[in-house]
Amino acid sequence: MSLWRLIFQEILYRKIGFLLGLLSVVAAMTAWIGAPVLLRAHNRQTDIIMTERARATQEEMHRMEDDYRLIMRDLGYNVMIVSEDQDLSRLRSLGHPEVTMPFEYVERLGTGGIETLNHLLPVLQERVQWPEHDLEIILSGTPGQIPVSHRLRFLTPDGSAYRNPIMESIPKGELVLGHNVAQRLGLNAGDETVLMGDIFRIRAVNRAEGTSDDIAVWCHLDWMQQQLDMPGRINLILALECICEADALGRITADVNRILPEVQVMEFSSLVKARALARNRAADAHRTAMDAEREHRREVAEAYRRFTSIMSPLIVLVAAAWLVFLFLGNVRERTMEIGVLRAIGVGEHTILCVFLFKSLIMGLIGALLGFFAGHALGAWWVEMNLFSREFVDLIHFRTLWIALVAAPALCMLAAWFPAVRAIRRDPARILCEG
Amino acid sequence: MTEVLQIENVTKAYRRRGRETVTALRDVSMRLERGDLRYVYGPSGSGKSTLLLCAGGLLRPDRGVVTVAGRNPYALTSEARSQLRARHVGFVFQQFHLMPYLNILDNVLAPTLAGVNTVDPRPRAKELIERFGLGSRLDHPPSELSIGERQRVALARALLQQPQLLLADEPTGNLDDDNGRLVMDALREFAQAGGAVMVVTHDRGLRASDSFHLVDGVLTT
Ligand SMILES: Nc1ncnc2c1ncn2[C@@H]1O[C@H](COP(=O)(O)OP(=O)(O)OP(=O)(O)O)[C@@H](O)[C@H]1O
Ligand SMILES: [Mg+2]
Repeated sequence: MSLWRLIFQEILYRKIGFLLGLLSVVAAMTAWIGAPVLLRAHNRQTDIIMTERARATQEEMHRMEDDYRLIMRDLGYNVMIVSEDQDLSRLRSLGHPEVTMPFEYVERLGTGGIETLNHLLPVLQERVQWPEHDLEIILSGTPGQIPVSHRLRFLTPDGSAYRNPIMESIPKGELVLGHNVAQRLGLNAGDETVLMGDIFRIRAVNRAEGTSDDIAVWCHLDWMQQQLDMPGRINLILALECICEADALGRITADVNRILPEVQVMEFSSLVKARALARNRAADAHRTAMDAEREHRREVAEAYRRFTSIMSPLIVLVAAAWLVFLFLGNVRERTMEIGVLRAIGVGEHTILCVFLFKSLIMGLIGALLGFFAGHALGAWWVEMNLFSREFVDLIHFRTLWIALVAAPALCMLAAWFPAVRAIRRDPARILCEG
Repeated sequence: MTEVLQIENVTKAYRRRGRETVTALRDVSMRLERGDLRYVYGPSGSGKSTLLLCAGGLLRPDRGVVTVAGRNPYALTSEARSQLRARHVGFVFQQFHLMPYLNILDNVLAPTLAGVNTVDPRPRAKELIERFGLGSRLDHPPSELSIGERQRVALARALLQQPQLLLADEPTGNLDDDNGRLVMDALREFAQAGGAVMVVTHDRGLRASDSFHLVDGVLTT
């Protein structure tokens, strides 16, 4: 009879004890293998979700663009009003008007009762050198939105300003920088800087537009007029969101010229700009949402990692202790058997092997079961389909080899102390006691 | 050389810390030759089992020399002593001590785990089982056997390796007269075939003219 036969027969005879031992090996292996599988599965799920989100965002943005086109049609036109002496080709090449007009033009438009006009913004623009930084900028001064008489219900009680202006005014002592300017000077919102001898706080930095706006520096109109010695002058009036159904530009031009015959009216960037803006905003919102989602999933992964980094070794440790306990019980149960085997000439090494080989079998079966249980549990935990390609990709067979070494090693380690105790016992004493 | 077992001036005491020392054997000497079947008779607690374990190389005496098949087992390493037992000594216990999870054939073959066999032991195992009338029960577990049948399996196991020395501790203690006779016949047969047998017992019925008497660890004839 071979040693293996003895071992297998004993395992079959004491099934429960063996199964309990096997269970703890499977638990240990499941915990040990399941932890990294869980993290890998989670990260894989994250990738899938993010890709899906990105695609959804793309679709959403296309849809939003269409929506905006419709909204813009309802909202109406953005027009710019410049002096009739302004050369339009120069305006285009310079990026700003040169010929000035009196400020009262805008007041006249505001009180002129033109139904199509909605929001009026007087501006003075001038290409200057920022002396402190030796940088060319388009200095742009505005007092903020000018009240339009027929829109009184949108105004503050004193009638001097809008409750919800679509363009904010810039307080004195503050600047809003075009994207390029801010980048070149390394300035951010909240910083302080000196312009033409005065100290300013940066109120905001505009997003990049790819136009001459990027080199604009916005300030309060009064300060600019004073600095450039152009009291009471502006060179541009922006009329935003003009309400108009058919032949918009024609009607607005006619309306404006009725009050101000000495100006030219032109449409500017309404659709293109709004669409781009909308897209940027949507993209921003989605990017933020996706960043938040990714961050959330990273935090969850970190929580998993921390949890498993404590739980896995703990389960392995408890399983090992439980194995030692079970093997001690097995040895105690087999005391007489060991005494008899010794009496009939079976050596200590063989007795040691009886227990170690048994633990080896337990370890090998436990490693196999634990390998699959660990993968299944890890994937199931993050709700990954066990019949999907993703799951199959998660399986690292290298882990199986490691498990096939680690689990038997764990079992043999747990069986070692009880087995040594078994052969340390004096067979004579065992037989006498029997 | 016909001498199989020689025990010379063996003394064995059980010492346990905090408890009284019990001297189980006092200056015991005896010898067994091929063909001998000798009884050691004595009351309970007189040291019979102790003598048997000392003789079988399982319990080191405090003093004196034991020689089994020409060698002192206590001068050998643990592994070599196991080998000596496997080749030359057979044990039969009062409680049989069969492995509950092995069938009869495997129980009889258990001594082969010592790894001293060169030829296939299975034919001899079957032959022994056959001789003890259990030929039809080879794959039964011990739990399905009667007490007498179990003792016969234990005896077959002890005889498997054709030892020179058979040590039997109350081999008939649990058996009825018929079964007891059957076992004793087998032992006698073994002795006649050239083996040496020591049977320890407190059964007066088994006493013979050349029995040893053991009283309080002192052996007399
Ligand atoms: N391990 C031990 N520790 C202490 N004392 C022991 C031990 N084994 C036996 N003894 C004592 O040694 C003496 C001899 O014991 P042993 O078992 O040899 O007697 P025995 O003749 O076989 O008795 P029985 O007929 O009841 O089996 C007894 O007094 C017993 O109590
Ligand atoms: Mg006894």
